[in-house]
Amino acid sequence: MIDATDQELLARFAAGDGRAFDDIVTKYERRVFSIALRMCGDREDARDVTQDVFVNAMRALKRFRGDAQLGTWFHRVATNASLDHLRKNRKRVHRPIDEVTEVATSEPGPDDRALGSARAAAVQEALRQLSPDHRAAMVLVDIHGLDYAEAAESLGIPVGTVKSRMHRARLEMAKMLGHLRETEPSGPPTPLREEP
Amino acid sequence: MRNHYEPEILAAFASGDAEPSSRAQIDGHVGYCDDCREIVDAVRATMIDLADLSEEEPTELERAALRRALAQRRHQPGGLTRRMMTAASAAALVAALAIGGSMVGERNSQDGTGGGAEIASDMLMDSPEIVTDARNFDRSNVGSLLAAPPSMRAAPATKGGPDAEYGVGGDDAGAARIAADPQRCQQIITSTAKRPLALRSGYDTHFEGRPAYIFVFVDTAREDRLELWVVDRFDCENTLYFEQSTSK
Repeated sequence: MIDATDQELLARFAAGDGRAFDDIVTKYERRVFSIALRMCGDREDARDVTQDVFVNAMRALKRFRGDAQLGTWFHRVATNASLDHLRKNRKRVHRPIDEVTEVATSEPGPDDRALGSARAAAVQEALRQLSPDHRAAMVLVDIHGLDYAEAAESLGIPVGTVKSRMHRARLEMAKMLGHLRETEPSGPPTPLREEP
Repeated sequence: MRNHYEPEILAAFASGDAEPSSRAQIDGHVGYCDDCREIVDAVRATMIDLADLSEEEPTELERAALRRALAQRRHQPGGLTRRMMTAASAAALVAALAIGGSMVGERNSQDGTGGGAEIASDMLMDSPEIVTDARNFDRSNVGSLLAAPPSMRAAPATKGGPDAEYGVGGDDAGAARIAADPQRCQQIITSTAKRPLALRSGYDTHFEGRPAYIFVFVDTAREDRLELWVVDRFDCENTLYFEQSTSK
Protein backbone atom coordinates (compact mmCIF):
# COMPACT_ATOMS: atom_id res chain seq x y z
CA MET A 1 0.00 0.00 0.00
CA ILE A 2 1.33 3.37 -0.94
CA ASP A 3 2.46 5.81 1.71
CA ALA A 4 -0.31 8.32 2.58
CA THR A 5 1.91 11.34 1.99
CA ASP A 6 2.95 10.01 -1.38
CA GLN A 7 -0.65 9.31 -2.24
CA GLU A 8 -1.53 12.90 -1.47
CA LEU A 9 1.42 14.18 -3.50
CA LEU A 10 0.44 12.05 -6.48
CA ALA A 11 -3.19 13.13 -6.23
CA ARG A 12 -2.13 16.78 -6.24
CA PHE A 13 0.22 16.11 -9.15
CA ALA A 14 -2.54 14.38 -11.12
CA ALA A 15 -4.83 17.32 -10.41
CA GLY A 16 -2.33 19.66 -12.00
CA ASP A 17 -0.91 21.25 -8.84
CA GLY A 18 2.43 22.59 -10.08
CA ARG A 19 3.96 22.53 -6.59
CA ALA A 20 3.27 18.83 -6.12
CA PHE A 21 6.07 17.78 -8.42
CA ASP A 22 8.46 20.15 -6.67
CA ASP A 23 7.51 18.48 -3.39
CA ILE A 24 8.14 15.05 -4.90
CA VAL A 25 11.56 16.23 -6.10
CA THR A 26 12.35 17.65 -2.67
CA LYS A 27 11.36 14.40 -0.99
CA TYR A 28 13.26 12.02 -3.25
CA GLU A 29 16.16 13.95 -4.83
CA ARG A 30 18.60 13.08 -2.05
CA ARG A 31 17.93 9.35 -2.33
CA VAL A 32 18.00 9.36 -6.14
CA PHE A 33 21.20 11.41 -6.24
CA SER A 34 22.88 9.20 -3.66
CA ILE A 35 22.01 5.98 -5.49
CA ALA A 36 23.24 7.49 -8.75
CA LEU A 37 26.45 8.69 -7.13
CA ARG A 38 27.21 5.32 -5.56
CA MET A 39 26.34 3.51 -8.76
CA CYS A 40 28.31 5.80 -11.09
CA GLY A 41 31.03 6.97 -8.69
CA ASP A 42 31.07 10.43 -10.15
CA ARG A 43 29.13 13.55 -9.17
CA GLU A 44 28.70 14.82 -12.70
CA ASP A 45 27.25 11.49 -13.80
CA ALA A 46 25.06 11.45 -10.70
CA ARG A 47 23.71 14.89 -11.59
CA ASP A 48 22.90 13.72 -15.11
CA VAL A 49 21.21 10.58 -13.86
CA THR A 50 19.21 12.49 -11.24
CA GLN A 51 18.01 14.91 -13.87
CA ASP A 52 17.04 12.05 -16.20
CA VAL A 53 15.14 10.33 -13.42
CA PHE A 54 13.03 13.36 -12.58
CA VAL A 55 12.49 14.38 -16.19
CA ASN A 56 11.14 10.89 -16.83
CA ALA A 57 9.16 11.03 -13.61
CA MET A 58 7.31 14.11 -14.88
CA ARG A 59 5.73 11.93 -17.53
CA ALA A 60 5.70 8.55 -15.83
CA LEU A 61 4.09 9.65 -12.59
CA LYS A 62 0.97 10.67 -14.48
CA ARG A 63 0.46 6.98 -15.09
CA PHE A 64 1.63 5.81 -11.65
CA ARG A 65 -0.98 3.36 -10.42
CA GLY A 66 0.04 3.23 -6.79
CA ASP A 67 0.53 -0.52 -6.70
CA ALA A 68 4.07 0.06 -5.44
CA GLN A 69 5.57 2.49 -2.98
CA LEU A 70 6.76 5.68 -4.64
CA GLY A 71 10.09 5.27 -2.85
CA THR A 72 10.49 1.78 -4.29
CA TRP A 73 9.63 3.14 -7.72
CA PHE A 74 12.33 5.82 -7.41
CA HIS A 75 14.87 3.23 -6.22
CA ARG A 76 14.15 1.15 -9.29
CA VAL A 77 14.19 4.04 -11.73
CA ALA A 78 17.37 5.51 -10.21
CA THR A 79 19.14 2.16 -10.35
CA ASN A 80 18.07 1.47 -13.92
CA ALA A 81 18.96 4.98 -15.05
CA SER A 82 22.40 4.57 -13.46
CA LEU A 83 22.91 1.22 -15.18
CA ASP A 84 21.92 2.77 -18.52
CA HIS A 85 24.30 5.63 -17.92
CA LEU A 86 27.12 3.22 -17.11
CA ARG A 87 26.45 1.21 -20.26
CA LYS A 88 26.65 4.35 -22.37
CA ASN A 89 29.91 5.44 -20.74
CA ARG A 90 31.83 2.18 -20.67
CA LYS A 91 34.99 3.66 -22.14
CA ARG A 92 35.68 5.85 -19.15
CA VAL A 93 38.97 5.04 -17.43
CA HIS A 94 38.89 4.67 -13.67
CA ARG A 95 41.62 5.11 -11.13
CA PRO A 96 43.26 1.81 -10.20
CA ILE A 97 42.08 0.44 -6.87
CA ASP A 98 45.67 -0.05 -5.63
CA GLU A 99 46.24 3.65 -5.83
CA VAL A 100 43.36 4.45 -3.51
CA THR A 101 43.72 1.53 -1.11
CA GLU A 102 47.35 2.46 -0.57
CA VAL A 103 46.25 5.79 0.90
CA ALA A 104 43.31 4.28 2.73
CA THR A 105 45.16 1.53 4.54
CA SER A 106 48.06 3.63 5.76
CA GLU A 107 48.50 4.12 9.51
CA PRO A 108 46.15 6.62 11.16
CA GLY A 109 47.77 10.01 11.36
CA PRO A 110 46.75 13.32 12.86
CA ASP A 111 44.20 14.04 10.20
CA ASP A 112 41.58 11.35 10.78
CA ARG A 113 39.07 13.18 8.66
CA ALA A 114 41.32 12.99 5.60
CA LEU A 115 41.95 9.32 6.26
CA GLY A 116 38.24 8.68 6.61
CA SER A 117 37.72 10.41 3.34
CA ALA A 118 40.48 8.35 1.72
CA ARG A 119 38.90 5.19 3.06
CA ALA A 120 35.54 6.24 1.65
CA ALA A 121 37.23 6.86 -1.71
CA ALA A 122 38.74 3.38 -1.62
CA VAL A 123 35.37 1.82 -0.82
CA GLN A 124 33.72 3.82 -3.59
CA GLU A 125 36.41 2.73 -6.05
CA ALA A 126 36.05 -0.92 -5.05
CA LEU A 127 32.30 -0.58 -5.44
CA ARG A 128 32.80 0.72 -8.95
CA GLN A 129 34.77 -2.38 -9.85
CA LEU A 130 31.94 -4.72 -8.96
CA SER A 131 29.67 -5.95 -11.73
CA PRO A 132 26.71 -3.58 -12.16
CA ASP A 133 24.26 -6.20 -10.85
CA HIS A 134 26.25 -6.80 -7.68
CA ARG A 135 26.82 -3.10 -7.24
CA ALA A 136 23.12 -2.28 -7.57
CA ALA A 137 22.23 -4.78 -4.84
CA MET A 138 25.00 -3.53 -2.59
CA VAL A 139 24.13 0.14 -3.05
CA LEU A 140 20.52 -0.49 -2.06
CA VAL A 141 21.15 -2.87 0.83
CA ASP A 142 24.49 -2.01 2.39
CA ILE A 143 24.56 1.72 1.72
CA HIS A 144 20.93 2.78 1.64
CA GLY A 145 19.67 0.29 4.20
CA LEU A 146 16.92 -1.44 2.24
CA ASP A 147 16.06 -4.92 3.44
CA TYR A 148 16.35 -7.81 1.01
CA ALA A 149 12.64 -7.77 0.16
CA GLU A 150 12.66 -4.05 -0.63
CA ALA A 151 15.81 -4.40 -2.73
CA ALA A 152 14.29 -7.37 -4.56
CA GLU A 153 11.19 -5.34 -5.39
CA SER A 154 13.27 -2.36 -6.48
CA LEU A 155 15.48 -4.49 -8.70
CA GLY A 156 12.69 -6.72 -9.95
CA ILE A 157 14.46 -9.94 -8.93
CA PRO A 158 13.74 -12.66 -6.33
CA VAL A 159 14.84 -12.19 -2.74
CA GLY A 160 17.11 -15.24 -2.99
CA THR A 161 18.94 -13.66 -5.92
CA VAL A 162 19.49 -10.47 -3.94
CA LYS A 163 20.94 -12.51 -1.08
CA SER A 164 23.33 -14.50 -3.23
CA ARG A 165 24.45 -11.35 -5.07
CA MET A 166 25.05 -9.66 -1.75
CA HIS A 167 27.13 -12.54 -0.39
CA ARG A 168 29.29 -12.69 -3.52
CA ALA A 169 29.61 -8.92 -3.67
CA ARG A 170 30.72 -8.70 -0.02
CA LEU A 171 33.39 -11.33 -0.65
CA GLU A 172 34.64 -9.49 -3.71
CA MET A 173 34.69 -6.21 -1.83
CA ALA A 174 36.52 -7.81 1.09
CA LYS A 175 39.29 -8.87 -1.28
CA MET A 176 39.47 -5.52 -3.04
CA LEU A 177 39.61 -3.64 0.25
CA GLY A 178 42.40 -5.82 1.56
CA HIS A 179 40.35 -7.46 4.32
CA LEU A 180 40.81 -10.83 2.66
CA ARG A 181 43.67 -12.51 0.86
CA GLU A 182 43.11 -13.18 -2.81
CA THR A 183 43.83 -16.90 -2.36
CA GLU A 184 41.24 -19.27 -0.95
CA PRO A 185 42.09 -20.93 2.36
CA SER A 186 44.11 -24.10 2.03
CA GLY A 187 42.05 -27.22 2.52
CA PRO A 188 40.68 -30.34 0.97
CA PRO A 189 38.93 -30.34 -2.42
CA THR A 190 35.57 -31.13 -0.83
CA PRO A 191 34.61 -28.21 1.37
CA LEU A 192 31.97 -28.38 4.05
CA ARG A 193 28.49 -27.52 2.89
CA GLU A 194 25.76 -25.81 4.79
CA GLU A 195 23.04 -28.11 5.98
CA PRO A 196 19.76 -27.40 4.21
CA MET B 1 44.03 -31.83 6.81
CA ARG B 2 41.08 -29.62 7.78
CA ASN B 3 37.73 -29.05 6.06
CA HIS B 4 36.49 -25.55 5.32
CA TYR B 5 33.16 -24.01 4.50
CA GLU B 6 32.66 -22.49 1.08
CA PRO B 7 33.32 -18.73 1.14
CA GLU B 8 29.76 -17.92 0.07
CA ILE B 9 28.37 -19.89 3.00
CA LEU B 10 30.70 -18.02 5.32
CA ALA B 11 29.63 -14.73 3.72
CA ALA B 12 25.99 -15.68 4.31
CA PHE B 13 26.84 -16.55 7.93
CA ALA B 14 28.66 -13.22 8.44
CA SER B 15 25.65 -11.44 6.90
CA GLY B 16 23.23 -13.15 9.28
CA ASP B 17 21.67 -15.12 6.43
CA ALA B 18 22.84 -18.65 7.20
CA GLU B 19 20.16 -21.31 7.57
CA PRO B 20 19.09 -21.42 11.25
CA SER B 21 19.85 -25.16 11.40
CA SER B 22 23.47 -24.52 10.34
CA ARG B 23 24.34 -21.44 12.36
CA ALA B 24 25.56 -23.20 15.48
CA GLN B 25 27.64 -25.61 13.43
CA ILE B 26 29.30 -22.83 11.40
CA ASP B 27 29.78 -20.76 14.53
CA GLY B 28 31.54 -23.66 16.20
CA HIS B 29 33.73 -24.20 13.15
CA VAL B 30 34.92 -20.61 12.83
CA GLY B 31 35.74 -20.74 16.54
CA TYR B 32 38.74 -22.92 15.83
CA CYS B 33 39.36 -22.56 12.05
CA ASP B 34 41.51 -19.50 11.40
CA ASP B 35 40.99 -19.60 7.62
CA CYS B 36 37.21 -19.61 7.83
CA ARG B 37 37.19 -17.03 10.62
CA GLU B 38 39.30 -14.74 8.44
CA ILE B 39 36.60 -14.80 5.78
CA VAL B 40 33.82 -14.11 8.28
CA ASP B 41 35.79 -11.23 9.83
CA ALA B 42 36.63 -9.83 6.40
CA VAL B 43 32.99 -9.82 5.30
CA ARG B 44 31.94 -8.12 8.54
CA ALA B 45 34.68 -5.49 8.17
CA THR B 46 33.48 -4.87 4.62
CA MET B 47 29.91 -4.37 5.80
CA ILE B 48 31.14 -1.80 8.30
CA ASP B 49 33.07 -0.01 5.55
CA LEU B 50 29.96 0.12 3.40
CA ALA B 51 27.75 1.32 6.23
CA ASP B 52 30.22 4.15 6.77
CA LEU B 53 29.72 5.18 3.15
CA SER B 54 26.67 7.18 4.05
CA GLU B 55 23.97 8.54 1.82
CA GLU B 56 25.33 11.46 -0.18
CA GLU B 57 23.41 14.68 -0.49
CA PRO B 58 23.44 16.93 -3.50
CA THR B 59 24.91 20.35 -2.77
CA GLU B 60 22.70 23.42 -2.83
CA LEU B 61 24.20 24.26 -6.20
CA GLU B 62 23.31 20.85 -7.54
CA ARG B 63 19.78 21.13 -6.16
CA ALA B 64 19.37 24.51 -7.81
CA ALA B 65 20.72 23.17 -11.12
CA LEU B 66 18.25 20.28 -11.00
CA ARG B 67 15.34 22.62 -10.39
CA ARG B 68 16.40 24.88 -13.23
CA ALA B 69 16.69 21.93 -15.58
CA LEU B 70 13.29 20.61 -14.56
CA ALA B 71 11.72 24.04 -14.87
CA GLN B 72 13.15 24.30 -18.37
CA ARG B 73 11.64 20.97 -19.30
CA ARG B 74 8.33 21.90 -17.81
CA HIS B 75 8.12 25.11 -19.78
CA GLN B 76 9.62 23.69 -22.96
CA PRO B 77 8.01 20.35 -23.71
CA GLY B 78 9.27 20.68 -27.29
CA GLY B 79 12.86 20.53 -26.12
CA LEU B 80 15.25 22.73 -28.03
CA THR B 81 13.02 25.50 -29.35
CA ARG B 82 13.74 28.70 -27.53
CA ARG B 83 11.13 31.33 -26.81
CA MET B 84 11.98 34.96 -26.98
CA MET B 85 11.57 36.83 -23.74
CA THR B 86 7.99 37.86 -23.21
CA ALA B 87 7.05 41.42 -22.47
CA ALA B 88 5.84 40.38 -19.02
CA SER B 89 9.09 38.72 -17.99
CA ALA B 90 11.08 41.58 -19.50
CA ALA B 91 9.12 44.03 -17.43
CA ALA B 92 9.68 41.96 -14.30
CA LEU B 93 13.38 41.88 -15.06
CA VAL B 94 13.51 45.64 -15.49
CA ALA B 95 11.72 46.05 -12.17
CA ALA B 96 14.12 43.69 -10.44
CA LEU B 97 17.17 45.38 -11.87
CA ALA B 98 15.96 48.85 -11.22
CA ILE B 99 16.12 48.46 -7.44
CA GLY B 100 19.22 50.09 -6.05
CA GLY B 101 22.07 49.50 -8.40
CA SER B 102 25.74 50.00 -7.78
CA MET B 103 28.29 48.62 -10.12
CA VAL B 104 30.84 46.68 -8.10
CA GLY B 105 33.23 45.80 -10.82
CA GLU B 106 34.92 43.03 -12.63
CA ARG B 107 35.82 40.04 -10.42
CA ASN B 108 35.29 42.08 -7.30
CA SER B 109 33.12 40.86 -4.47
CA GLN B 110 32.18 43.91 -2.46
CA ASP B 111 28.71 42.72 -1.70
CA GLY B 112 26.07 44.99 -0.35
CA THR B 113 24.03 43.86 2.58
CA GLY B 114 20.34 43.94 3.25
CA GLY B 115 17.55 45.47 1.25
CA GLY B 116 17.86 43.06 -1.63
CA ALA B 117 15.77 43.09 -4.74
CA GLU B 118 12.56 41.14 -4.51
CA ILE B 119 12.79 38.39 -7.10
CA ALA B 120 9.69 36.27 -7.51
CA SER B 121 10.53 32.61 -6.97
CA ASP B 122 8.68 31.52 -10.09
CA MET B 123 10.91 33.87 -12.09
CA LEU B 124 13.99 32.15 -10.72
CA MET B 125 12.63 28.84 -11.85
CA ASP B 126 11.70 30.06 -15.29
CA SER B 127 13.53 28.83 -18.35
CA PRO B 128 16.55 30.71 -19.61
CA GLU B 129 15.94 32.86 -22.60
CA ILE B 130 18.53 33.57 -25.24
CA VAL B 131 17.68 36.82 -26.94
CA THR B 132 19.49 38.16 -29.93
CA ASP B 133 20.76 41.67 -29.67
CA ALA B 134 22.46 43.39 -32.57
CA ARG B 135 24.40 45.83 -30.41
CA ASN B 136 28.06 45.61 -29.59
CA PHE B 137 28.62 45.89 -25.86
CA ASP B 138 31.81 46.79 -24.05
CA ARG B 139 32.94 47.27 -20.48
CA SER B 140 31.69 50.80 -20.31
CA ASN B 141 28.09 49.77 -20.78
CA VAL B 142 28.04 46.62 -18.66
CA GLY B 143 26.47 48.68 -15.89
CA SER B 144 23.72 49.93 -18.13
CA LEU B 145 23.14 46.42 -19.42
CA LEU B 146 22.67 45.22 -15.86
CA ALA B 147 20.53 48.16 -14.82
CA ALA B 148 18.41 48.53 -17.93
CA PRO B 149 18.27 45.61 -20.29
CA PRO B 150 18.29 46.30 -23.98
CA SER B 151 15.40 45.88 -26.31
CA MET B 152 14.02 42.38 -26.29
CA ARG B 153 13.23 42.42 -29.98
CA ALA B 154 14.79 39.54 -31.84
CA ALA B 155 17.30 40.14 -34.59
CA PRO B 156 16.60 38.65 -38.03
CA ALA B 157 16.60 34.88 -38.00
CA THR B 158 19.86 33.15 -38.66
CA LYS B 159 20.63 31.71 -42.07
CA GLY B 160 21.38 28.27 -40.66
CA GLY B 161 24.16 26.45 -38.89
CA PRO B 162 24.33 25.27 -35.34
CA ASP B 163 22.76 28.39 -33.94
CA ALA B 164 19.62 27.76 -35.88
CA GLU B 165 18.13 25.23 -33.52
CA TYR B 166 18.32 27.72 -30.72
CA GLY B 167 16.58 30.36 -32.77
CA VAL B 168 19.35 32.87 -32.26
CA GLY B 169 20.97 35.03 -34.90
CA GLY B 170 24.47 36.24 -35.41
CA ASP B 171 26.76 36.82 -38.31
CA ASP B 172 28.96 33.85 -37.41
CA ALA B 173 26.27 31.29 -38.02
CA GLY B 174 27.82 30.24 -41.29
CA ALA B 175 31.42 30.27 -40.07
CA ALA B 176 33.49 27.12 -39.94
CA ARG B 177 33.69 27.17 -36.17
CA ILE B 178 30.78 25.79 -34.27
CA ALA B 179 29.17 28.05 -31.75
CA ALA B 180 28.98 26.63 -28.26
CA ASP B 181 25.60 25.58 -27.00
CA PRO B 182 24.43 28.50 -24.85
CA GLN B 183 22.83 26.09 -22.44
CA ARG B 184 26.14 24.31 -21.97
CA CYS B 185 27.86 27.65 -21.36
CA GLN B 186 25.32 28.38 -18.63
CA GLN B 187 25.92 25.00 -17.07
CA ILE B 188 29.68 25.55 -17.04
CA ILE B 189 29.20 28.90 -15.35
CA THR B 190 26.78 27.64 -12.74
CA SER B 191 28.83 24.58 -11.93
CA THR B 192 32.09 26.51 -11.59
CA ALA B 193 30.78 29.61 -9.86
CA LYS B 194 30.25 27.71 -6.58
CA ARG B 195 27.25 29.89 -5.92
CA PRO B 196 23.56 29.13 -6.46
CA LEU B 197 22.96 31.18 -9.59
CA ALA B 198 19.63 31.50 -11.33
CA LEU B 199 19.61 32.79 -14.86
CA ARG B 200 17.61 35.98 -15.35
CA SER B 201 18.31 36.61 -19.01
CA GLY B 202 20.64 35.67 -21.79
CA TYR B 203 21.73 37.49 -24.91
CA ASP B 204 23.31 36.34 -28.12
CA THR B 205 25.30 39.42 -29.00
CA HIS B 206 28.79 40.91 -29.35
CA PHE B 207 31.10 42.13 -26.65
CA GLU B 208 34.06 44.33 -27.58
CA GLY B 209 33.74 43.22 -31.15
CA ARG B 210 33.65 39.49 -30.46
CA PRO B 211 30.63 37.22 -30.73
CA ALA B 212 29.51 36.46 -27.21
CA TYR B 213 26.73 35.31 -25.01
CA ILE B 214 25.92 37.58 -22.11
CA PHE B 215 24.13 36.04 -19.16
CA VAL B 216 22.66 37.88 -16.20
CA PHE B 217 22.30 35.76 -13.09
CA VAL B 218 20.89 36.32 -9.65
CA ASP B 219 22.74 34.81 -6.73
CA THR B 220 19.82 33.00 -5.12
CA ALA B 221 21.55 32.94 -1.76
CA ARG B 222 22.05 36.70 -1.96
CA GLU B 223 19.27 38.12 -4.04
CA ASP B 224 20.75 41.57 -3.70
CA ARG B 225 23.50 40.55 -6.08
CA LEU B 226 23.36 40.34 -9.83
CA GLU B 227 26.13 38.85 -11.89
CA LEU B 228 26.86 39.38 -15.53
CA TRP B 229 28.97 36.86 -17.39
CA VAL B 230 30.29 37.44 -20.88
CA VAL B 231 31.14 34.19 -22.62
CA ASP B 232 33.02 33.75 -25.86
CA ARG B 233 30.43 32.23 -28.15
CA PHE B 234 33.01 29.79 -29.49
CA ASP B 235 34.68 28.91 -26.21
CA CYS B 236 32.55 28.52 -23.10
CA GLU B 237 35.61 28.45 -20.86
CA ASN B 238 36.59 31.95 -21.88
CA THR B 239 34.52 34.18 -19.67
CA LEU B 240 34.52 37.66 -18.28
CA TYR B 241 32.65 38.31 -15.07
CA PHE B 242 31.06 41.37 -13.53
CA GLU B 243 28.80 41.77 -10.59
CA GLN B 244 26.50 44.36 -9.19
CA SER B 245 24.93 44.81 -5.82
CA THR B 246 21.33 45.92 -5.95
CA SER B 247 21.21 46.87 -2.29
CA LYS B 248 20.98 50.52 -1.42
